[in-house]
Order: sequence, then structure tokens, then C-alpha cells
Amino acid sequence: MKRPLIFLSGTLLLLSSLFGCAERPSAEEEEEIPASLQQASQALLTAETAMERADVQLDLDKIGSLRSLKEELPAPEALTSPRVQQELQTAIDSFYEVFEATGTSLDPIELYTLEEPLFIDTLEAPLFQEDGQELIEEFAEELGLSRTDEAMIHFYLSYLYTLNAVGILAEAGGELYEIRYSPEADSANVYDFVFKQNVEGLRPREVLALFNDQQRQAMVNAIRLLTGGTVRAEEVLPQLDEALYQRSALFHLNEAAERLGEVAPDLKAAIDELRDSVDRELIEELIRQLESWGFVIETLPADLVERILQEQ
Amino acid sequence: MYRTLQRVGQWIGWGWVLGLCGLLVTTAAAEEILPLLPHRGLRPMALGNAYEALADDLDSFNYNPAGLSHLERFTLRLTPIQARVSKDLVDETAELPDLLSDLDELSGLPEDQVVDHPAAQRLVDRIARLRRRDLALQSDFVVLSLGAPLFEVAQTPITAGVNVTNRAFSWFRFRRAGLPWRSVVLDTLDDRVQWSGALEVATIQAAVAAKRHVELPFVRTVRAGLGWRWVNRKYRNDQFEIAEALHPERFQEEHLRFGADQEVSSFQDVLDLVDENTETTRGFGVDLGLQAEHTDYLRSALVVRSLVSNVGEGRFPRTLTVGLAARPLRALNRENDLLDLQVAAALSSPAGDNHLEEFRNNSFTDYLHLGIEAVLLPRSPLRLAVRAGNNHGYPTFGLEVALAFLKAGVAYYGDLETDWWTGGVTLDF
Repeated sequence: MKRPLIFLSGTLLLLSSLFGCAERPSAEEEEEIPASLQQASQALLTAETAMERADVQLDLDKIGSLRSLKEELPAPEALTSPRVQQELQTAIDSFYEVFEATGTSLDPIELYTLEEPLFIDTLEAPLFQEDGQELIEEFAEELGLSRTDEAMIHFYLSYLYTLNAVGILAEAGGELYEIRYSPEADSANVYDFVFKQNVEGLRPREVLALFNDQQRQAMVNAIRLLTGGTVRAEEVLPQLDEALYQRSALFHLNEAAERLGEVAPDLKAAIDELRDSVDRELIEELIRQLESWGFVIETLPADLVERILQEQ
Repeated sequence: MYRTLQRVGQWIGWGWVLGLCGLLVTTAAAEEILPLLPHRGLRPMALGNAYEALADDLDSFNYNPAGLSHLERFTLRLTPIQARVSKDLVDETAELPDLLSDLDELSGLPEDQVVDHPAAQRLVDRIARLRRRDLALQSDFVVLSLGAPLFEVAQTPITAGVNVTNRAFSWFRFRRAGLPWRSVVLDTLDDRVQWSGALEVATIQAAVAAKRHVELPFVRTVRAGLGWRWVNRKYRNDQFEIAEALHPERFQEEHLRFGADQEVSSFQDVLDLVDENTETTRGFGVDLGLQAEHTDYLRSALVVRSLVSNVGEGRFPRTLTVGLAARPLRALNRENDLLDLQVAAALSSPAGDNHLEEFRNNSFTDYLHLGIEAVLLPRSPLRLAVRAGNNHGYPTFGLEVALAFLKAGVAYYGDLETDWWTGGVTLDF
């Protein structure tokens, strides 16, 4: 009698245990972010949320968004409100926090001091030198910031600096100038600085006199945001939070392009489009004319000076 | 008094063997451990690998060499093919027509309409899902096993056998990495793809087993077996970021040894390509197994696989298994020609023969193997076997039809890492 009972209960026990009680990690658990990236992930979330609130987010899940980036850039009028400017600053600050949390250090901008007008060859030694970059990159790798993450943060920073600069310029334009917006795929430049008044034939000092204090400040600030260089309008110098605006649109654009060039040439092509729209068309165009408007260029990134001089 | 002492002595003896085996397992040297990748038959897989005590056929080569001693005549088995496909790969393949249809739909659209088309979003969703997939395919082909009783030494029948396995194996594992971007595309770019490929040609196993009737309390028959395997494996393990695949030339340069002008037009070209892209490793392993029959319906086993092994600069994982198998109907005196029932359980080293250490759940289920088999018409030429099991905590089940010497079956098999569908055909003579 005992034996049947033992076997019956044993078999039933076995049968009841057959269906597995172990569970593989759920999708959410697999998505879990490693501890080394928790702080950076939080900062990234803040940056993306700020961009969303400013309505300047890029939907990169839409296939082709990167290819048609020009069409994704927002209109200048949408960037002028203090609320949007504040959100852009929050996003910039948060992206830098990602770098900080992952131990990623940034190269300094190589600036050249111009003691004479730009169109005379006055190149001097760079003000800053690179140091210890290899070690820093190694540290960043340990913490898990991948090449594409790093490249995309540079890309977004460049984008945000540009929008910030365009917003500042557009806000101050008044009756003097406007930032014309042509996002069509076939247009050469998305943002174009256009005088509303006729300034042809005016001498530099006369053009500068047309700029009020706010417009002068906007221009020197915008040039600092776009290039990292210093432009002066008589006594007006850039007034920006240096702790927040650590680099420039141009700097981050070059960093993004360099990194993506190593990883994905297709993505780099999208960066090049931004470079064409912002760097070549907006920045270079402004730099070429600033002196003729009475502004004094004190420093500019070495590579930009070199390129402008070569193109002369 | 004498019988009590004898019993105590036997328990001490068993304890010593167990202790030695445990010691061997726990004092593993800090050298590279390569997965054993044993050929698993449909029957043991469906039984959750609880097969050490149950082993009584040519599957014994990979579970318990002592099981060979059950062969009472010359036995030959040919498995022309047994394929194993991960469930994730099956799911993805099932949805391939939808993918092709979406791609077809998108390719016919003007560029400015592609972005907002639902097919584009489905594509992105598919990428997001793919990031949690294990896409794996394994094919064991022309597996030849034979075994036969040879002779008796001091009333101890000796059985021996040889097994040859050929196998191709490929595995892609997708793992998320980097910062958690909201954009699936951005988030995916730095995800890691780990891939493994292996080709085993003529992995040879040989085993010898002995059976001895004994006059011991609770033990009627003891079987012991010694197995030896020689592995000839070409393998490649590599990993890359998704973004690297966007740069095909560099990707090829860094991850594939395959010249742009290289042609693949013959079988020899394929072999050359495999040679160039894999490393060859050869080595051996020794398995030791014991089975004890306590009654005509209850059997236990103790097996140490890869007790000694040496492959390349490393070794195979040394695994210790203790198992129990029973025939409930025989125990209940209900044996019949309609149904035969067997149940089995085993406890084994938690990461298993394939060293799936990183997938352990750190619970008792890591050690667990359970199986139950019901065979309809067990003594007729046409038989149907239904099996279910639990392997390391994951469910397994299978169905096999046998007609004379031909067997065909399918099984669902979960291991620590992923779930599989497997099927194959076997000829048993």
C-alpha cells in the first residue's frame, strides 16, 4: 500500500514541477541602465525633455530625418521667447552634465587672436593646447559612453547652440535686420541674416551706428555661441554664462562629424548638411561681413580663420 | 553488527566519491572555459536533460557512459539531421513576409512620403524588438553512433561504443548598450551584437561500460562507464556595434577576413573562407558515469562530465550530476502493453555543460532537471512518445513517432539562455 502512494505522489509532484518556474529577464529588466550610466541617463532625459518643451526635438526615428535635417530646423520666430531660450539652455547644460557624469572631457577650442582685420594674415599661436585627451577617452570608454553616444551629444549640442544663437539674433532684429528662414531642401541656407534697411555704400562705422545696444550685444553673443570666438562692437563684448556655454556650435559640429565619420559615413552626411547650412552659409557669411559693419574680430577658431583665408 | 558496519562502510564510500567529485568541481583552475556543446538527442532534450539515470541507449555518450551497458545487441544509430532553431529566430522568420511586404511598400513611395508611412514605423518597431533577440541556429548532421556488448570479464559484461558528430552552429545575440535615448534609432546605434559561429567536423566519442550484479543493500546492479571525446572545432566569437555595420567597408576590414575581389564559387572556396575566419581548436574530455539499480523500477546515477579535459588553452566545464529515474507503472505492478511511463530527476552543476554562467538565475532551479515520458504501445513497431520536462527551470516538451527503425520528432527546449524548437530524424538499427 505504501509503495503506490509514494509513487503516485512522487509522480504528481514531478508533473506539477515540470512547468518552469525560472524566468528570463523581462524586456524592462534587460533595458536596465548600468549604474555607471545612471546619472548620465538622468541628465540625458532632462535634456531631451527640455528640447521637447521647447518644441525643437528631432524625431530621428523617422527614417530620413537625418537626411532631411535642413527641413527639420525650426523657424527663428519660434526661438525668440525667453521660455524657449531657457529650455535650450537647460538642454545644453544637461548634455554637458552627461559628459561630466561619464568623465568625458572636451578639447579646448583652438583660438587665434587677430590683432589686425581678418583679411590680413595675422595668425598667431593657438591660445590653448590639447592635453591628456587619450587618457580621458579611455576613462570615458570604461564608463560606457560609446562613440555614437558621444557623437550624438556633440551633434545635439551643436544644434542647440545654433538655435540659441539664431533665437538671440532674431529676437533683437527689430527694424534693422531679420533672420530669413528657408527650410526647403533646395535652398542653400536655412538661416540668412538680411538687413531690412539699405546699408550698401555705408562705411563700417556708419553701419555699426545703426545697431542699437541690444542688437550689438545680440550679434557678439551669437558669434560667441556659433564660433566660440570673440567679436567686439566698440565697447560691447560677449556677455554669456561661460560656465554654461563651454564651447560653440562649430566646435561640437566638428567633434560630431569626426566621430561619426569613424563610425557611420551615412550619418556623417547628415552632419555635413548641418555644417553646410549653419557653418558655411550662416557663420562664414556673417564673419565675412562683420568687419564691414564696424565689428572688430578679436579671436576666432583656428580652423575657421584658416579656411576663410584659404578661400580668399 | 557486521551488516551494519558494511552498510556504514558503503555510505562512507559513496560519500567519498561524491566529495571527490564535488572537490573536482569546486577547485576548477582559473583557465579559459569553453562550452562543451554536446550533441543532445530529441529524447533527453524533451526530458529536460534529466537523463543521467534514465540513459539506456546511444544517447548515453553525452549523458552517462554507464548507460551503454544496457545495450544487449549490436546497435547502430544514424541521425542524418537534427536542427535546432531559437524561438526568437522562428518568430522573426515567421514575420519575414510582413517585413518584405513593408520594404516593398516603402520602396514604391516617393521619398517625402516614406517618413510618415505606417510601414516605416513598423520597421522601427521591429528594430526595437530585435534588440532583445537571440537568433541562433544549430544543425547536427550525419551523427553516427554504434555500440555493442563485447565480452565478459569475471561475470562482468563489457559494452563499448563509438559516436561521430558533425555540427554547424551560428548565434547572434543582441544586447543594448550606452545611453537610453528616446529615439529607438539613436538608442540602437551603439547596441552590441555578439556573434558566435562554430563548425565541428568529426567530433569523436568512444565509451566503455560495465555491468555488475552486486549483493548490496538497496543496490542490485551497478553500471560504470568511461567516455572519451575528441573535439575538432573551428569557431569564431566576435562582437560589434550596430553603427559599425553602417560602414560596410570598414566593417568587412575589421570583422571579416574576406577580400573584396574574393570569389566564392566552389565548396573549396567556402572551406577556405571558414578557415580564414575561424580559429581551430582541438582537445579532449573524459566523462565518468555510474548507474545503480536499486529495484526493478528505481535507478540512480552519478556522472562527472569533463572530469579531465584540455582544449586549446582551456578546458570544458566540469559538471557533476546526480540523478534518479523510476518506472511508476512497474512500481505499482500496472505494467501493460498500452502505456509505459518513466520519470526522472537530476541535480547538476548550475551553469551546465555549455557554461551559461551569465544566464544563471541564482536560484535552486539552476540545478534542476525533471522529465516524464509516456510511450504509447511501447512494444509495438509503431510507437508514440510524449515527453515533458524542466531544464534549469525552463519548460521542455516533445513528441516522437517511431515506426520500426525510423524515428521522427520535434521538441521545445528551454535552457538558461533561450528557448529552442528542434526537430530531427533518426534511424535506429
